[in-house]
Amino acid sequence: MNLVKADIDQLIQQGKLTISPLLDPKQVGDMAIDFRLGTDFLVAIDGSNPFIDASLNNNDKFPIKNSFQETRRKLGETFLFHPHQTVLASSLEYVKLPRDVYVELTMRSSYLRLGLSLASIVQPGYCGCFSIELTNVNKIPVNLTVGAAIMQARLFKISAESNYFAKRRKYMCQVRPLISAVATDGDFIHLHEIWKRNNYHT
Amino acid sequence: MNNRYFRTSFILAYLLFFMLNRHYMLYSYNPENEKLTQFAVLLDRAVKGEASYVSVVNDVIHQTHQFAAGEKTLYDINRDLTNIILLLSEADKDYFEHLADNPEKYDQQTYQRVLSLITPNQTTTV
Amino acid sequence: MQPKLLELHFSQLQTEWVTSKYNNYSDDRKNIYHEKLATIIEGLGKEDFASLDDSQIQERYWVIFFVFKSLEFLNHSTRSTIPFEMVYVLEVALKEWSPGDDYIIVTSLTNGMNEFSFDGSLSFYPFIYTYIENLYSVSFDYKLVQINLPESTSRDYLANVVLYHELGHFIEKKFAITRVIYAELLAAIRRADPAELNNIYRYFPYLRLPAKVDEFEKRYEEYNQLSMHISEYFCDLFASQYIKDCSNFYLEYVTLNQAVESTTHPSTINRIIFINEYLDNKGGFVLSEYKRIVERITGIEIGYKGKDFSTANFESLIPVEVKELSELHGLFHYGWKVWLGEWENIRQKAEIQFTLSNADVYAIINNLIEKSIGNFIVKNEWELIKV
Repeated sequence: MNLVKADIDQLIQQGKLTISPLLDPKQVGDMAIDFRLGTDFLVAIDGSNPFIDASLNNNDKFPIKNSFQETRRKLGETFLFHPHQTVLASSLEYVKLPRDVYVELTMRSSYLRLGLSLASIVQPGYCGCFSIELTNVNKIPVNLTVGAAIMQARLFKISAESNYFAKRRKYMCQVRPLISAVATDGDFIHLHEIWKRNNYHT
Repeated sequence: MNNRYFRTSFILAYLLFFMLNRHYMLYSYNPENEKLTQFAVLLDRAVKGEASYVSVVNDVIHQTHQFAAGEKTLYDINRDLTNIILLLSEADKDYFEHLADNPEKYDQQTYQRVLSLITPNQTTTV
Repeated sequence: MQPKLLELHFSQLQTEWVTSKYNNYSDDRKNIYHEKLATIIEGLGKEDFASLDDSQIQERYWVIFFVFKSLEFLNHSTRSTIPFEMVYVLEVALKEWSPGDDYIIVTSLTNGMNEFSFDGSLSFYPFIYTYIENLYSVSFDYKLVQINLPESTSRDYLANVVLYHELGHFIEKKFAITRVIYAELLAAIRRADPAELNNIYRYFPYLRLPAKVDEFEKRYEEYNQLSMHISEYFCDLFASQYIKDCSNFYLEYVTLNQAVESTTHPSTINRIIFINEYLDNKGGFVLSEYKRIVERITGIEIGYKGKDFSTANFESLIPVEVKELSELHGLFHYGWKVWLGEWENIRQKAEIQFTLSNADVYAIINNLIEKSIGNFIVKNEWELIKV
């Protein structure tokens, strides 16, 4: 069920949904909440790594962190978004979702028209700033303002509650974008072992 | 905890070595000592008749007089000048105590005298 | 000093300026400051150092020092990774003690593990500003103060409470507090009141030796043992006004509870006793002298300047909604309390079904402190502008 303004307002009042800071109550729209661009960025760079290694087969020789650079801006400052650049950012708002509500996060239409895209799902019970992975698919750079409402979240209620912390989470209460922890995926160890068996064992 | 003031820059030490060699050979990086050196420069300019420094120099001398004469205490004197005032006053309390209360009466002779008090006070620590 | 050596110094500055002159700052005050440096460098460039006498050369030496030091601060502050949340909180404390002064706080991230410091040297040299105004008709509306903190722990708000102590060093220098306490303690020793003496000897045991007292009386040195110990006690006291006993935690953390004094620092045990006596509203002659002297010089009473708040937000994994400036300081105490407390509270409140590691809790506390401060800054800035 897609939650509407009255539902969202009620959840906030009951303390079941935290959005901090909610600078303008008008951010809560009829069927979605506008979220703002946060202050911290991780920008993909041409570092010393020849590629971003999403595997364990190279013994962590090319750590992902070498391909990203951290930068910060203050509210009202701008961030220049180059064509085809991948940037990790966060929502300005810290969010704690109810255990039975998940979020679909997309760019606001005005920003989609600039060539920026985003599609993300946030699980029930999540807490932290939304992590957003942005790419400028336009041919020209786009200058974004920190604090601008660039994305919207639609909230959906599910039939059963789920505990976000029933299992260990890679990202807890994050307030800045974090480097991908893809290498800690359990599957990777499994796949790496298969690769080793196929390549090193007689 | 580290204190930035302890860090002696090589270049600073090197240049100070030459700059201050009239009075001593080695020098420790010490803000109060440096402030005194900077005041000595003002005094020297005032001795040489540079009018634009006279009011600043007169203010230090006048506050030292007020402190020596008991008109001002440790608590009333300018915080930036505290150590200089105390040093001058300790160097020749009698002189400052009996100095004119009107700074306009201070002249080249006064500045020369104060300058001569400062030079031996810029003691050296290695 | 030979003019050639000054020329060497100026050449170094010119070389530095080749890259620094293109610095671009987000804070317009820094741009204005930077333009003034450009005027000074232009003025220096037009001068013939060989024609100057000794004191004129010294003037230029200090002016060049000033420009170099300013650039040292400003060059780092173009970096866009500064922990502005921490800087904001320290600025709040600085303004309480120095409301009339205009400072631009800049930050430098250092490589050393415990390299925390406050470099206020550009605000302690009033005569250099006199030279600059006289020689180049340039006056500065703002003075630069630099906060140095280790890059590796720049987001560690538990460790960064040390910066309150470092701010204390800046304040005690600005008001010449150590110098006055130094004089008053030595005067008390000469008065020889047994109760006062006992209390002084407790914190400064070496003052039992008459020869030491004579030595300290004979000459005040900014870096002699007594003045440095006085200064350290003051900075601990200053910090505890904002972060209470967290100052003891960082002391233990940094010094490993050192039982014996060094030439630069009193024993950690004594420092902790001093702070605890203050926090427990006890204390003898030395503490009351510190309080009296500080209030007389600054007009500000030593006392808790943070504000406690009752919340279990961190345990519920959400930031604290800070309502007033004084609560910002309380965040550090709250963070330490959570760190030292039972993490079961977090697990229960947040219904976490796995074992929380040290690293988990460390990240949670630091993230939530940072976001609590950040939200306060953002809300304030948002509400300041009425559109």
